[in-house]
Amino acid sequence: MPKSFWNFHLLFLSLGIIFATLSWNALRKDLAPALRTGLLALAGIAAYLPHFMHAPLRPYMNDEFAHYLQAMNMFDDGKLFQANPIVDQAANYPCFETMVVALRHLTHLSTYQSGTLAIACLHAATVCLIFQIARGVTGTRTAALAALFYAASPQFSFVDSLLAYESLGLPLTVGAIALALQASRTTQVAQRGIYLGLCTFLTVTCIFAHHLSSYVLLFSLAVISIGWLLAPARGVTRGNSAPLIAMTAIASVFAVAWVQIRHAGTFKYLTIYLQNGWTTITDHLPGHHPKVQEFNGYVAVGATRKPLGTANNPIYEVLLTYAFVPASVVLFVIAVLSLRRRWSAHTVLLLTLATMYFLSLPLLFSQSGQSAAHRSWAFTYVGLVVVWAIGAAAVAKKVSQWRMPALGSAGTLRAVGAATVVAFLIASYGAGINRYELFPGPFLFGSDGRNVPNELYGLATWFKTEVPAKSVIASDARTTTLICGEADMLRDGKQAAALILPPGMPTGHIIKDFRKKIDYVVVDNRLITTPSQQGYYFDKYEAYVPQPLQPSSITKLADVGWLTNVKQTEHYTVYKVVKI
Amino acid sequence: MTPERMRVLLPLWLVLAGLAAYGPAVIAGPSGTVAGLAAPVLFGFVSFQRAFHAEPAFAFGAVVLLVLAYWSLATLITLWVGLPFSSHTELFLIVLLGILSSGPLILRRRILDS
Repeated sequence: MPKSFWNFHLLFLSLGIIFATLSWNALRKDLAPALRTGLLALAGIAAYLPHFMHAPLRPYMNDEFAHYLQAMNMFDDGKLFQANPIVDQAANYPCFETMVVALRHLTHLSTYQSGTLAIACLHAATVCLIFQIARGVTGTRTAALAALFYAASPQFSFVDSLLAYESLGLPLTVGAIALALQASRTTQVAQRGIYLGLCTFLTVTCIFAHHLSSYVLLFSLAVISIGWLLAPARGVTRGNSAPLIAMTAIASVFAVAWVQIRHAGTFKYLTIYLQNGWTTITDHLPGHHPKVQEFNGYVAVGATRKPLGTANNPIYEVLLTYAFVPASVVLFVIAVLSLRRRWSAHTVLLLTLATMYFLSLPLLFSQSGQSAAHRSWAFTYVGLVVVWAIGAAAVAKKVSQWRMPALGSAGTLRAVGAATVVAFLIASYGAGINRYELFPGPFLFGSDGRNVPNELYGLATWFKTEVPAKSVIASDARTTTLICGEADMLRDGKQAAALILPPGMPTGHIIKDFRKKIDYVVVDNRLITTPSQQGYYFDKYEAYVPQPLQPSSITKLADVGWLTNVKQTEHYTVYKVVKI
Repeated sequence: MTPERMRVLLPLWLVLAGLAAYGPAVIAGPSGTVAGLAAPVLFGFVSFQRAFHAEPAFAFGAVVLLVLAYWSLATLITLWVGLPFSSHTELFLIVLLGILSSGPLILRRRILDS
């Protein structure tokens, strides 16, 4: 039995205990509001624990290195829009980095510690705001259940816990939505104006923080406006929605203009995942043939995907995962039935977001589309968790009416609620997190092939001490090794030139042609055995090679006479280029 | 405490908030500022909740977000216009403290008047 098998049990047991305890207490009927707030904030921080414990001191994942590097450079030279070698969009949306840099200035913590502190606070705030949003359509305990569901959702624990711009974009989106919804039901003019003013402030920040979040936010504000027009709350007129409509329109124009001003190419960057995901699905229809796809420098051949296909998941996780979608459909129907006579801006938005979750599901069957689907869940889960909470509460109410007092007792309901939160966590983690090279997920404790940060930093230290300044190091743009080494060297004032291999030539030719320019070549040996369509090692250049790269085409580096193996770690080989 | 009475005590709130933010930094060095950062959030939380009769969860979530968004946007503007950031940190903090500790209460007064 693989060692990693037990990691699933450990992950789910530890998170299960935390979430069951928090849920058991937060679902108490007579709980003081401040205490419930504290428990929900703790749930938000608990959702950050898997990522934090994975990498408490250093950035871990590819995108994190990109934003870490961006923030380090911003702190050093104060420039906002510097080109980023890993995530090119990071240069256009700098608000996450400015937040981290400001906190670093103020607290004198390190860049990573400042980011960690901010993300933990943002997590706590997000769960509390989900509670506020759900509170607009349901009771206190059901709203708390919805917030706990959200805290237990996969993208919140992993994608939106990264030291990256989505970790700020999501909370800003949720906060602006909560303020707009609150405005839609506030009868006092001045108070409504304040809520809309604060909403505008968060929206503007969001436009500068993260592309996808800001577009989802603007879409959500438009849906809220429509809901407001269709079913205004008591004491509020349709005309009162005018400021929100005007703000949404102006902000939308500004968001589009920002992309044009920056020449950011953001729309292509985002839509290509959807397009390729859709193409992959339609390729399976009769009369269609799978195509080679290229997107954002990746080449994906036959990019289909089998959910749960890459993991040794426990049987309980598999069962819960496959039960998750049918359960969501049933609870969605129940929620619609119970909300059908209570239409408002809240219900229109939440049901729209929940519907979008279901629309994203087919994309899980493609490599490209699943990335889009997972990213979208940060927002669609806002609707889904409220649907789950309302549906679960309706079922519990029905059961308690069946002349079975034991089932309807307060203690039983709390226990069932806590168990449901844990089951939700396991089921949606399994469904959401299994692309191992991107998301830690159940591979949290060591089975992820990219998870050797100490080795990486050891190698970076070796570069820092042994390699002369201004050496040119060639590696794939995506390997974290080089970035780590580069960041360390930059911090010490040593300038290491990262050679981003130009497109148009296969790897071997590049190495030969650049012999005069390159000093070192770094190879991550794990990646050469990775199927090429999973796309990161030299994959930018596969489009120019007749066949996908085979392991032999890279391991031949060892046979090149002018490359000397100067450093070997468990997973990395460093070659020194012997000059002509 | 009524909003009217809190309004009278606003200057005191502002001074207290400033001391709470800078006190730990002066006494305990830079790391003490982390504790000081909690002060504006706490003041903002209390005043937001009282001014708008908001749920604690709403007040907490909104204030945390507004503080971080403020820092983020203030730094963005500072760097964009080419100012050295470090010389403006204190100014931003004082403005933030003023907004958080007095803003919602002043607005509450306007709400009551309206």
